[in-house]
Amino acid sequence: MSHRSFSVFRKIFSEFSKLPLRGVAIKQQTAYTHKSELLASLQQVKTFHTTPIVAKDKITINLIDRKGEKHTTSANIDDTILDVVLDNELNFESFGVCEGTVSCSTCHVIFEDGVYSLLEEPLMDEMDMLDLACGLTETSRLGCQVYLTKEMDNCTVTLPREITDARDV
Amino acid sequence: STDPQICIVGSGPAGFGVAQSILKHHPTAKVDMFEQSPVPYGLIRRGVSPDHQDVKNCIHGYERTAVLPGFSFYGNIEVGSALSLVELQAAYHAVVLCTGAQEERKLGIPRENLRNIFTSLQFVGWYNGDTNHQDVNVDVGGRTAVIVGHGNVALDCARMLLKPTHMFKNTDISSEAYNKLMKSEIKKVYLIGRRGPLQMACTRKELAEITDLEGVVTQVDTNVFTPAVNQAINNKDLKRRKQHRLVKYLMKVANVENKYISKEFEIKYLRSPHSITTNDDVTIAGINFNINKLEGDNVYEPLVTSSGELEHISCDLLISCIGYTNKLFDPNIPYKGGKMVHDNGRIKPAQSPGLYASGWCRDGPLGVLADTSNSSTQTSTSVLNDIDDLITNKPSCRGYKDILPTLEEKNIDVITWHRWQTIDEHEVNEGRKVGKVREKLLSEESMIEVSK
Repeated sequence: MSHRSFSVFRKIFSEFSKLPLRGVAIKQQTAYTHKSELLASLQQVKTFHTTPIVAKDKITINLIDRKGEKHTTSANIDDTILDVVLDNELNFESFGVCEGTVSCSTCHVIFEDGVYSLLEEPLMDEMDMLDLACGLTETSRLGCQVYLTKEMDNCTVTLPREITDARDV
Repeated sequence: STDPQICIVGSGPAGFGVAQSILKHHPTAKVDMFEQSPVPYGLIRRGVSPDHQDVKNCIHGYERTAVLPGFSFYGNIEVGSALSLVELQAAYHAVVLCTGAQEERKLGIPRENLRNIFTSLQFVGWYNGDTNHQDVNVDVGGRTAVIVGHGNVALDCARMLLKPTHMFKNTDISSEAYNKLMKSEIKKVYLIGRRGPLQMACTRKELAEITDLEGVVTQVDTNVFTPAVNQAINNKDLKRRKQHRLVKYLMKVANVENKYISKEFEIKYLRSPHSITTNDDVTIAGINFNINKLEGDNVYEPLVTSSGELEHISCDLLISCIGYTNKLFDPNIPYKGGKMVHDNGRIKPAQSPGLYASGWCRDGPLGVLADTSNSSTQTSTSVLNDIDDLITNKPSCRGYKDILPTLEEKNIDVITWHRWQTIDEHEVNEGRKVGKVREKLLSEESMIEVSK
């Protein structure tokens, strides 16, 4: 079973088995139909999560924020990059605003060449959103769509730089 | 008090982006957000299609910002009439304009004021429950609709007419629009633009949401896929990737044989609106288009010239989706090429320090949420860099306290965040009763009444 299909399977499984699902946003599906339920969940945990929380093997991921600052984090295998940002409360500005539903491009991240080639090809909906990302590169992905694997230990993931130049002055 | 008093005009993505960023980096800042409508979120509420609910997830982030101690929301206050910009600038160290691009662009052709001709602002506002556009009388009893424009808004409008209406049942579509669209007789929708496929402003995703519909056949005159276009789309240019993927997709889905056709979706190119035709001087009967030619060596940005020939297309409904323009908020604010003249969000002229802008009112009505986020990050960085100097220069600013007498004098019923939460809860509860995510209130009066 490929990694992605495993992830999908696990998500479906968790829906039925009531694994401690912390969050709302599952690809192609919003688990909460009413906002009051969502808010109730937010009050408890203050954040959402795209994958179920279970004890997993840890790896180290380095994230470089929009200002160029490096954050070294401990991350769970099978989590997404978006999960890592949320779990470590990195509070990156305007990151993951559609909550992992592949409806925006704000969790755009850039991988190192070697790591990028390890990743599965992006699906059509991710490609559509990447097309709209600011500062698109050959190794750009959406953070909500990339699941961590053992091979990614110690890799560095970079957010596109904050735009600080004056445009059309 | 020497805490920064910052005022944001407008509560759409640009306004909340600036608020979020300022409050994150300056914990003692006081951020007051003014909104002309009683309800917040701008185009996220009034613009985003009812079947794109996921896009609205950004609201959850705005809600977390709105409950921060430094944040206040003051709805139902129109800056420009209830309060002047001068008054705001006197009361606040910094004023950030996030008012969007609110003016509709008209076709500018003869007989545009006939019945059943709308701008996207009117049509989208109508089905999205925008209180400003509930008086439009959309007639979907005819067979053919023409949509002018090749952007995502044009596709949103086309989708409302082509997608089975029952698929909008659980969304926050206005009930009025839903009931009317359920009886729609529209069987053919034209999407007409003045240039070629490589110039389409829409995204592949939005196009696919129509071409993937069961029973809808997509028709394109394949002559527009010229050898030059065919060559261009195979270039590996990241900056053009969106365009190349769109055209490749279009070639794949165009004119595919379909056994069970219920509706037709025809995309036409090289047509500029010329004049509206009518049989009775009251209702639209059709529209004449100038047929264009594309010239020049640049396949991406060709020169558009008229061939001198006209084509008439009969239709019963016309929606022009040719974009918005910036409403000149204040005659002293300098505009150039549809964009504000600014330095990293600081509005020139220099004689009014402390005036900033972000989002579409600054950059023009282009781009997606990520672009507006960038704009807001940039502007809030400027505000934070300047704030100490602004406080030194205007130590007497007391923010809302200075504004309150004017609001009281003018008897303005201010909608606070708490009152909006009451409206929000009401709308969600009313929606729940009929299985919708939300039932929007359709008048400002009813919103104000519910919030009491």
